[in-house]
Amino acid sequence: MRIRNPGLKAGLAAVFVTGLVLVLVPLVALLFGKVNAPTADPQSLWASFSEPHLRALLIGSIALALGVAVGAVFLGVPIGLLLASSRGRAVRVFALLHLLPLCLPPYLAALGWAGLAGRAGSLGSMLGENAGTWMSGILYSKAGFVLVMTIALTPVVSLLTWAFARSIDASAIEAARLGRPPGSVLIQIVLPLCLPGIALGGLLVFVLTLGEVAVPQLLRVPVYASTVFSRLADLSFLPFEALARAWPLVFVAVAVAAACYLVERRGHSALGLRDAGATDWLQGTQRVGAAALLVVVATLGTLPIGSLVGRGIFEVGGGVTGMAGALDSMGNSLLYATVGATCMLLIAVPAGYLWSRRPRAGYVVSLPLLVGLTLPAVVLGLGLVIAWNRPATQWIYQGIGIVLLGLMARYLYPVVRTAKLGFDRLPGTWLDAARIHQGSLWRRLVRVILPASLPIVATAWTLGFLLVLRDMDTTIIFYPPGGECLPVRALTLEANAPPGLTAATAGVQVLVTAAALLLLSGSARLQRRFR
Amino acid sequence: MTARNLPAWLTVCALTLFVAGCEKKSLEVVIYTSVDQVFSEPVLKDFERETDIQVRMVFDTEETKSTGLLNRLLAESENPRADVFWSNDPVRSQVLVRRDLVVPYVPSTAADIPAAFKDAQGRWVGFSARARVILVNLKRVGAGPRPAGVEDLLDPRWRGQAAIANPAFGTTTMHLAALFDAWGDAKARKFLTGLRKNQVRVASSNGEVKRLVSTGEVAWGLTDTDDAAVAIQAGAPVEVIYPDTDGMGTLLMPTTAVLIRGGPHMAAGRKLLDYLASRETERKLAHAPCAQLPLRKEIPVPSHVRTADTFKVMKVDYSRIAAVMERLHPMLRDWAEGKPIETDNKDTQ
Repeated sequence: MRIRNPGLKAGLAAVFVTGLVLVLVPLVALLFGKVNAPTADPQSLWASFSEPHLRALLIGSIALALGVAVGAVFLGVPIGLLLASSRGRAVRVFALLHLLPLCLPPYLAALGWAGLAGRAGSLGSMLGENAGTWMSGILYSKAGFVLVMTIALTPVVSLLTWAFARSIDASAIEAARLGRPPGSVLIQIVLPLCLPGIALGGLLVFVLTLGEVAVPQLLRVPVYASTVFSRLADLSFLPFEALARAWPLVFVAVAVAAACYLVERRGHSALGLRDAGATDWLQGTQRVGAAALLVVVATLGTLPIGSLVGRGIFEVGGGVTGMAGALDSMGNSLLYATVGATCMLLIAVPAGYLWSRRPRAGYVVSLPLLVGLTLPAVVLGLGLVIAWNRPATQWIYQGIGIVLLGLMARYLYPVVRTAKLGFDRLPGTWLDAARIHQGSLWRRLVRVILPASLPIVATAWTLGFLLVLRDMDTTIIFYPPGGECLPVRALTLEANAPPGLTAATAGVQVLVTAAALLLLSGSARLQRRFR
Repeated sequence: MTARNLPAWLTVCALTLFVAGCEKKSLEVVIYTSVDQVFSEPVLKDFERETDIQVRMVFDTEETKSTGLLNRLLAESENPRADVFWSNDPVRSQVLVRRDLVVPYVPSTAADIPAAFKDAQGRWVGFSARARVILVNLKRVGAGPRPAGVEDLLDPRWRGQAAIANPAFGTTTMHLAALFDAWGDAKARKFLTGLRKNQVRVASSNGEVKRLVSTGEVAWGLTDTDDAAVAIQAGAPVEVIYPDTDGMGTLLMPTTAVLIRGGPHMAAGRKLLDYLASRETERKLAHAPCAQLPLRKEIPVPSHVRTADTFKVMKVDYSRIAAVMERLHPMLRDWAEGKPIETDNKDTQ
């Protein structure tokens, strides 16, 4: 429905300007800052296509990211539907275990896998040398990379599927079931209703995999993002070359986002008066299959974390020392995640609503934010340093401000888009009624739109919280001295600290995030309270 | 709390936490260090206790996992945040020296550091070194012959069984720069090409080389003494060999510290530099798990720590190596990305 509201254009313009300030200003600063006088060879803009090895690397990296995204969707959708429709204790336990990989940056999970499935890993020791050699061969390969990343990121898809399935009007499903078999209802009704969430989950997994550098370095898998990273790492300071190599990644992400938009349009908007509650979306063999998937994926996801936490607890000294040093970092992590997620939500609620009302314009104005999500963290991070480290902006650069700016530049897009998808589900009749009775946009947002979309809005906040809490590669570039967060501490300690110390730090991270996941489960209660 | 006032609650919550997170003012010094956190943090905490100056630290990661502090220092050079940069090798400090980003300062404690390890003009000072060593997995190698030098990486006997860290990063870059300087370009380029032919594994970092050797993924690898010491302390079945002691010698890499030009706390920075360059810091780092090699001869070391006078040290000029490294870096980066390199270039030596 097209709203004729004079403030709408101004609001959309504000979203666009926010994106420009957060993302494009750092890029311009990186390119034209006084730090260096980099040689800008325009031909390097096309190097990704003209140089055979770069072209092959780009295609290979896209294929790997697609593989991970498809795997995550294949596993995450049935699990998400199962979580949305079950209240059993066993399912809840496995749900928590399944979501645990969201606690850690994939790099730490990969380290956990290396401790398990390496040649001298725990599993290798148990199963014999040949098995260890075989597992090591798998782990340190493209297949291993896809496996590690898929298990680490599947919870993103299941979380979003769960949130969308929970917000479906049960009446629609019950009506459909009167005349159709369960399989048909699932494919023709339930999945289309969840499609926006599934598409967003797939997009997020794709983009996060495409930009990942640390895991492929560890598993010795050559990826395209490493070539961008190498232009701004150690002795290299080549901003133009880095951006010249980064833009194909952005282009690919925008293309995938456009594809997701087409998929999303095939979904239905169907928020109704009745909460779906624990409606059984899956029946019979579907349910058994999804439960089996949940058990397998949760077990695989928990194994590397268990390996890390186990080392932290059992290796003498590691746990205790790690805890002492990790407390400050834990405080920083929680501070960044809480304030970051809240700030993002404050922008995401109006921005998501405007995007929902003007979808095409919304996609355009949100492009800078998509660029921020897609750009390798090193490009964005160094740009932020150059852009904001000025005498006039020291009040931002010397404290938490720069961290918030960086995290918003990186993660605002998925939070806004999740909120937008929530608002998409509001029936037009509600909005018309609200416009007549509640007056201004702000009053409508606060009194009608927000309460009606609370589960998805809560999911948006939680998604932002989790993304920030596990962030490592963005924050590490500009965190204020003494202000390191837990994942950064785990990473900096990883160089030569006793494995137990790194593991204990990772263990604290797991505990903190597990508490956050309990917050998420509380969103269902909020839903019931407000609707 | 109701949905009606939820945005207000969120705003209040955000502002409260924002204010809580703002910087506290006190007498402080900001240090960026690429010396491993687990070794450098105790030293800096000791300084904090002894001087009442709060040390705000930024640590580096292993080489390939973040952009590195050097680039952060470059990016901040218009308006520096750091007072001191404590580098885990001598050449990254040289990069800052060459860009005129440091202030000369001769620490009052540095008088007895040998002249080869400090700048005559006081722009950098070296102390507490590491060496590039061969780490061998005893189970993989067995009773057979051991590698004795870096050129053994090309020996077909070790095909696919040896590892080095990515030469575009960290001390491996410096090691290769030293080899280019010692051998000349032609031989060094052939060496790089030979590494590929002999299927030498390229790990993400020296720590990863240590992990690969310790777990038996490879038979041996080139790494640094601190990585090797940690592997031994962890009980891994490994042995350390100081390479090329019959030939060009083993590369020694002192950690170095510089005072950043325009840093916000210069006076505290000088005090910290005095502290870092002191005999006490060298003693602490020799007794720490990193088992660093003191540069001053008379500092007592534990039995497992070797001093520079017990093996043949490769003769290098660190400022010259830094220049070679900057010249070579694009080629090393290309090599690491899998591009072939030309081997018929004229010897530049």
